[in-house]
Amino acid sequence: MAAAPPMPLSTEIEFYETRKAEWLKSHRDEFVVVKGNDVLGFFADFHEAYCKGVEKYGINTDFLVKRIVPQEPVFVVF
Amino acid sequence: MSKHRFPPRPDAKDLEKFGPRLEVEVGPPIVRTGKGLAVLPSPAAGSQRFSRMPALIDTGSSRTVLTPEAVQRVGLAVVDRTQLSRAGGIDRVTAHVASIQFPRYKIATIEVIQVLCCELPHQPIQCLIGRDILSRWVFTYDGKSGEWFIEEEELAAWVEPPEGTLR
Repeated sequence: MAAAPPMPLSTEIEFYETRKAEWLKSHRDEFVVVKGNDVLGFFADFHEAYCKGVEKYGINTDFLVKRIVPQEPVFVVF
Repeated sequence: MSKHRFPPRPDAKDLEKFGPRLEVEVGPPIVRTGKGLAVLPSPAAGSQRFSRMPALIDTGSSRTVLTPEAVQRVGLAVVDRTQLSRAGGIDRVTAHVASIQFPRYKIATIEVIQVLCCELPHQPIQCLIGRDILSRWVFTYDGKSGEWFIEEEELAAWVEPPEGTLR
């Protein structure tokens, strides 16, 4: 039986988790852009972070854009 | 401030039954370079560049949501995985970046918006317009007459994702 394909951004999220405590000290509430284990940078808002990611990696590529916060948000649909 | 009135033939019972719905066109994000040029991707195999679909305005949804079918059809790249609380519990879902246009109305295009991907079972819609988009508009719901209205002030294309914590 074929193995299930990996979840998208698994590498990036795992990498983020290993760095999160450190980044919370210096980049809290900023958006980090990560591709593989490569950190593109930290940005004040999502739009800037995403556009920088597109410039670097292209628009058809998955890359992580994540806000550095102590507790992961839970969005709601009622 | 421009005001858009829905639907063409208001019916209070229809609005009660189906809610405020409109057609949207979802596509890849429209990213502008320093020279003001849009960067549009080539459609991935099996996907379209833009796809029209019915959407429901949902004040109970903190973020705009697309079904997996809609996300796949347009071929939207993933930018995060996050948690979504809904009836039945909390799901892990993917977050994507899209553009949303309103082809039948003169409502400003949203060029870059983060959307969440989850199934919308038992509903004839593929998109929930959440409070992230509603934060751009004045939205008026008149259940007595069956009319609803969208008013918008300016043509800012960007929507800053709100804090998504439960509160």
